[in-house]
Amino acid sequence: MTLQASRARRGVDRREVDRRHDAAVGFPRWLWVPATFAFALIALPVLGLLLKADWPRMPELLLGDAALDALRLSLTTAAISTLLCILLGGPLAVILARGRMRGLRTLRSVVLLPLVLPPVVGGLALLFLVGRTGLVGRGLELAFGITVPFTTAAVVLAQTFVALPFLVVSLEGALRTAGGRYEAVAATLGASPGLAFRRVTVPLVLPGLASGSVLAFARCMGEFGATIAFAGSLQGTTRTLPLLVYLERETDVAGAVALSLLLVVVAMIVIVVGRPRGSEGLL
Amino acid sequence: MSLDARFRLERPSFSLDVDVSAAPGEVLAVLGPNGAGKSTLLGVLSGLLRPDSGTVRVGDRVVTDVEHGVFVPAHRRGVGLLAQQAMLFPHLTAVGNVAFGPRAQGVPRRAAEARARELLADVLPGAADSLAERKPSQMSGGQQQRVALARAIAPGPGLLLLDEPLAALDVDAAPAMRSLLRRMIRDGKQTAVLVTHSALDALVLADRVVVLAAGRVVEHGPTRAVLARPRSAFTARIAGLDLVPGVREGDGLRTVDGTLVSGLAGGESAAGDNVVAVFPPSAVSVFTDEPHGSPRNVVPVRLAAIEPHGDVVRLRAVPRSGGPDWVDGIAADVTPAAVADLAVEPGADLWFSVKATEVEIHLATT
Repeated sequence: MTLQASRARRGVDRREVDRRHDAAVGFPRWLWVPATFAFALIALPVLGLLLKADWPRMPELLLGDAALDALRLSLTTAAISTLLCILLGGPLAVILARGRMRGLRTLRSVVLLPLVLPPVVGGLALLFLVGRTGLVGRGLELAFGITVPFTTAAVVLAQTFVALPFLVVSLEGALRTAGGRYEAVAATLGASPGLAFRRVTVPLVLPGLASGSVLAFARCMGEFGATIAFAGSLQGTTRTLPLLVYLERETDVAGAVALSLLLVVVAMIVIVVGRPRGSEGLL
Repeated sequence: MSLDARFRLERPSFSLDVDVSAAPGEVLAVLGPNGAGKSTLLGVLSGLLRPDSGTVRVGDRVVTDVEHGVFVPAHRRGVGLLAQQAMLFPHLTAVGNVAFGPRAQGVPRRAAEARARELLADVLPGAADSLAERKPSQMSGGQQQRVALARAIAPGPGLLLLDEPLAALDVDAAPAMRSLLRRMIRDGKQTAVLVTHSALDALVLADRVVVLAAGRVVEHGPTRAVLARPRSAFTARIAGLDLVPGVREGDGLRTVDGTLVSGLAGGESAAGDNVVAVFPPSAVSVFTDEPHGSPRNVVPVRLAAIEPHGDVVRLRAVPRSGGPDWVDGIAADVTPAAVADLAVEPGADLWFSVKATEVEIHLATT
């Protein structure tokens, strides 16, 4: 996931390719074979879902109480988590991209941890930190009488935990691509760091912020492991769509398939609407 | 406003130790080879770099004083910058870019935009209206640089730094931009420091010149004087003149290898001083066989390169094996017809010859 790779890829996207006259050096033809398998591996399971779906019963399956509750919960928590990612991850990305103090490399590795950590481990870690006996959890309970685990707040926390690096990484990439030179120009024009940040930095990285947010939202919608470990599965409170899919899979296959297709549709909307350019350098 | 800067900045492989100043309304050109410290100088003046010691004063205001712990950040200095790249904010229109500085100073939007439109009309005569609402990506490189100039001037900087402002423009756009700079900066009495590689830019735009080499000022003075009487090989190259170093002897100089170069020495130097012989490439005649019987300086060379140079052709010399070393890089300008008559190619042995009356002898830099 190098920045250079994503930059290079974007460069190619922008160049107009004249297919009719282009006699560029090609690639070895045998690459088609593994590439076809790779594509099939991604596309066929989705196709399988479509074939398996019980289309006549679809409205009934999707409009049940449990399904609607889960959809509503998933959308609201994912939206709140994405907002949190922007509010907390945005400044973090700025510091990672522009900061000059030592130890930033280490800090960045820590930020990337949720990307590589099994989400269920993240959920357990959150539980031990914010749980009733946890370091922070006990304080919260004693001081304010607040219990976080197994509430909607826990869902949001779990989603923010796993989605934060997606936003930070793509925004940091955008900030590095923009470089600090425009801010320097703004300073020579008399703009304070605060003004330069608002009027120059933020508008310049807005596309990066948008694609990072879309990625983070998608990651939140799909969150499963950390949520089930930290928030449990209570209908209307913590049972998001992926959790419901997992639950229904044993009792009502048709329902699970219908909900899965709903998630596929949400994912497609995210890809089409958001066109997450940041993902090129991310995954 | 005036500029007065005297400072030292140390880096592991490089140190910059300079003393430069400019009177109010004066344009100071900074010439120097790559790595001489020109960009570092601009960085210190603009407040993007902190020197290790010394002071920088813009007008009456001390903006850097290391000993007294004064360091005014870039955005409060009133020091503007126009660089090689226009660096217009890509998300703002031309008007938005030019109005940025006044807006940052707290000028209300409407007034700032009115000022921006006035300046745009100045820098883009006849085209300002059609370009005002365009984004930078919809303008040519020359137009972008003009808008960048308007943007740099808009906040009314006490000092404007110009970092090779014509270097990135193509040959069609540069002359117009050069005369625009002359009009806006020199005629507008804007105090400015201009970093450039071009003698033409310095002559057209600057009142005075300093030449930097390896982090030190090696020559300074009025532009014409410095370029007409170069004391170092770099300045001579910039000014398009040939230069031979040596020790004064009679009316000429003797080079390290013992060749006597006759010229016209004034009273500025005495016998035994380190001096340089300076002459224009157009004064050099070129022969395939050694010429005899004229009061000329004649030297054997090997032809290194043939370059087009305006209407003439410039022949560059390298030493022949066993020949004098100081001919390295010496240029002779001849007509294309003369080159055809000579029928030579790089690598050929030639004789360069220059009349003593064309050779000026100046004191060298130490």
